[in-house]
Amino acid sequence: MEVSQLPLPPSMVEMLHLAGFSVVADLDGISALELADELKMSPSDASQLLASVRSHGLRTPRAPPATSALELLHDERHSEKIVTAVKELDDLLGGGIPLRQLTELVGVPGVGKTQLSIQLALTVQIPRLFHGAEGEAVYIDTEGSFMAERAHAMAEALLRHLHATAHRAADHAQAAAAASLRASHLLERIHCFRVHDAAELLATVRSLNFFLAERKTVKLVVVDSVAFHFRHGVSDYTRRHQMLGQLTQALSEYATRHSLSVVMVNQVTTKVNDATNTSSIQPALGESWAHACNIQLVLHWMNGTRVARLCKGREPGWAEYQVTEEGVRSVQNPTRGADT
Amino acid sequence: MKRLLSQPPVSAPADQVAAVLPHVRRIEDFVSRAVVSESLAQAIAAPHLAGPLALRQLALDVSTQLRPRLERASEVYERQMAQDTLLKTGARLLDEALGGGVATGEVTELIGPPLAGKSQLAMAMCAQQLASTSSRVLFVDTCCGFRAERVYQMMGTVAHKMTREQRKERLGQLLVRCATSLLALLEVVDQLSSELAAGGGGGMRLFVIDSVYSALIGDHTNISCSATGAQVARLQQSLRRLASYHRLAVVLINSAIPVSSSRDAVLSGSSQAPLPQQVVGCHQQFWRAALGQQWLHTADVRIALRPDPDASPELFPIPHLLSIIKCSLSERNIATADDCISLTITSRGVHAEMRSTQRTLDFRC
Amino acid sequence: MTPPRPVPASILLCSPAHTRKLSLGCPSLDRFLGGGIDHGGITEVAGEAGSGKTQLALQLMLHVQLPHGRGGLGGGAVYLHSDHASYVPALNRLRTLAEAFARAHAALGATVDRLMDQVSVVQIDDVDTLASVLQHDVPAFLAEKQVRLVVLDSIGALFRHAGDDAGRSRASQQAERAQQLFAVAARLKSLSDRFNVAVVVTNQVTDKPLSASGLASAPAYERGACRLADGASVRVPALGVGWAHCVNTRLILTRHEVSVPGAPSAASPVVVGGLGAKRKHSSLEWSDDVRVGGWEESSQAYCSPSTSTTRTAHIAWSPRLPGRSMRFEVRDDGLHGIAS
Repeated sequence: MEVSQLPLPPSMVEMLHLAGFSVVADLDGISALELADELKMSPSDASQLLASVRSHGLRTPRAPPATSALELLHDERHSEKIVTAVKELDDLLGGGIPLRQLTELVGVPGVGKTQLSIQLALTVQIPRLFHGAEGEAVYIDTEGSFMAERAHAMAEALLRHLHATAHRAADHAQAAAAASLRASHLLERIHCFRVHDAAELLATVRSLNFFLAERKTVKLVVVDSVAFHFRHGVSDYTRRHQMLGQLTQALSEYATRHSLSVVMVNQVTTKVNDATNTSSIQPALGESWAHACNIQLVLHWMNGTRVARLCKGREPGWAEYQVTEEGVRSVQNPTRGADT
Repeated sequence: MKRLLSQPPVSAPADQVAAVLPHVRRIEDFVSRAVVSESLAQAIAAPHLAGPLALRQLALDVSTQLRPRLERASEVYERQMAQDTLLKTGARLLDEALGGGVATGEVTELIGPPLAGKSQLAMAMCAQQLASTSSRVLFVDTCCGFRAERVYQMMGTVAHKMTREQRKERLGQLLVRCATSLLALLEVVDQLSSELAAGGGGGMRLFVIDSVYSALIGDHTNISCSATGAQVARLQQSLRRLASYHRLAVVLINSAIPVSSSRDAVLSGSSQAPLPQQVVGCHQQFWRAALGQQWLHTADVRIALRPDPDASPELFPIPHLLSIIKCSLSERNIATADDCISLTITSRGVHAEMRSTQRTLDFRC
Repeated sequence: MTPPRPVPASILLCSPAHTRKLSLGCPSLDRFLGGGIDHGGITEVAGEAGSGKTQLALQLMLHVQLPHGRGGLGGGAVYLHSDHASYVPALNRLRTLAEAFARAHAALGATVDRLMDQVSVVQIDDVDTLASVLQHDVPAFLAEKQVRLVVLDSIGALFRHAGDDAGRSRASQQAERAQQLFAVAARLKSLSDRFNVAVVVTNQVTDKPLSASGLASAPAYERGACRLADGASVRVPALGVGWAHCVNTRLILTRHEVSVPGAPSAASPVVVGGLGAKRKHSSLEWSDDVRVGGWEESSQAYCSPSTSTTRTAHIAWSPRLPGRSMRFEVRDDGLHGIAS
């Protein structure tokens, strides 16, 4: 690896070059004092430089090997989906929230973002026999909105549904699988992190690396919500932007490496246009964030019912849903749109 | 490359070279950056190995052989004409506007805000390329956005005569690599260039990165000031070299970020508000390409995309507007100076039609 | 800094923050709220003047002192009070309530003095004071004392008047105000989590014009209960959609003057006044997404014997409850639900 590849200021790279250090290996085994002498710089600068070399240079990040699109096609067709339990929405999504992708849930307060997130943390655990992902979930709660009690109620409703499905199909294997599950088991497999500020959120996401390496069965990471801590405390716009970028980068890496689904909840904000004195509701975190996700689901109200609108990722369309005691469900007589 | 291939193997004593640099067989092996800089430097700096003098001679030889030579412009032109092809995008009108398609040996950049159809267009290009030849295509996915199913679907439209098995076989020629950070992206580019230098690559003509912005999003704010800047510059250089040296069509996707005024905007048009029901007023928005001024020099051809501001957000398929804002050949510019191409993305693929528009583009950036 | 550790949801299910509820002392209202106010997160009580929101807050500050078995949380309360004019009246009302409460719970040894001792009051003048009190004084106090409830009354009053700085642009003021608002919310949530306290915040309401498309995208509760008689606007909690995202549970209290049959009806559709009638500013401005709401005191209508007041509580959203409404009345000993 060349010195110029290191994340160092160009002036320092130039100094290294002039002193004859062109590859990282040249710096191997040199002490900070020696380097300071060679480069005519202060020892503290030299030791900082070496620290940067050690952290970046000596371990080149290995990009995963190439996969052919044919294999990916196979994976896409046969990998499990995380069902939303709203049939019309699952149809739009091609069976549910896909693995290996970043999905954004955005909507006005109280429309059901958290409800859907909690439910996904449960439906990701649906056993393989029922064509589920049979995985565990990580729930990063930034707003204190995860309610174990609510999750428990939804878990019981989900189990009732599985029992009924097995019963209808008269499938003994399914019935046995459903009977062996308890709501408490489902809750055990939701790993909740409660974070209190943006720095903690970033640290948590980074440390997930180790957690996911230990727990290979995790198939879903929920961040509810990404927006909250970035809307205060991080007043420096550039810093905020960078932190958000690092967050997405880490999450999308996990998504591919551990083939899991990442669901990020976003808030909305009122954007006032001074020129025309009009205002509109838009997803928070700005335009550059909008690039981060592969699938965008906008939850909003339409004529008194809740609607989930698929805006990015697949053919756009919308589906009505309701939030009931059991969780997020289809409405009785759904109208569905393909935006035609 | 042909010039080098005809040269004899390295002139230094073969056993000595093999002892120090076991993987160096031919001059071409030196082309790979890693060998020239790293291994050779190490080898020369290791006096306990046999024949340091011979190795110095070797280094000299290599640099002589790799030294560029003066050539007649006519020769270069003819060689390029013979080597280069134009890859179809799949949208006929866009191909025409581009003078036949995306040229190999050039870097083409697709720029646009979210939901502008950048990835769709890139995947359409892949589908078109796979349908027409059996050569390899490399797709670098930095944001988990690649969908094999979508490419397969588009191939079905382009090559309706192909059987499913044939299509799947061709799909096997499309290689996808993930690189979520700048360093990983650099590594992928380096690996590709050494692979191509060694004669591999399976006749690759198309190389796509979707998107450069996502790979840089974690540290790209530092671009102008320091370290990342150096790495971005290297990426820029590698990509350009990759295109011209190996006659690849390099297609990059870059994001557009909103700017407050039209002064430094590169394309104008209203942003498609994701909450169509709640928009009270529609406001004009201006965009410019992300990654700063320096990055603008990367691409030979720049294509700007955005959702059609005049279209109803309820409309499906969503129409996109496309315009060519930089082009290496002047004749291609003329066709699109005032006109936009309206690009429709359906489940079948991308379809382009001409559209006269009042919104002229701002070329200032 | 160590990143947070994951906790399985099944463990959370056993933690008091996820299960215990703070009773209102009225069985039907408790049923309506699924047991009471949530122990974790922020519960907002929004309503126009005289709808009973302060009364509800005061009532909770007494009930929180009851032991777990009796519907309380077994701790004291901190009352952050922002409105100078109603400071003394509010404390008078607390005393009146405490008298009734002491009579009802004499068997547990409740006396007015002991009840009042358990409530600590802080007068908050502006946003900056609030920020520093929340950062320094409240955490220190909570660490020392057994406190289970923090009430902020009212956030709307504090932020609606905040930062009218003529020198700066409207946009930058708004951005700063939003930052401060999110910071307050984050701190309250962090307090709730760290010190195991319930947080209740009261808020004012404001009138928002409703266009045709706005009506289509309005949440169900806005289309129903909050819609004003003119049909063209809704009365919604102040501070806009940004603050709304910070709230875990939102309760809206409305009051309507219903004319008694046979008697001439009052001219004004909504009348402000009533309990501890507060003087309202004639023009309140919160320019997030709302128009200036005008208030007029109509003491004539208030005194008029031809009208009677009906009060209704609405759950706009809650992490565990469906949206629903219930009528209630304000009596000397607090709020009481009216079973329909």
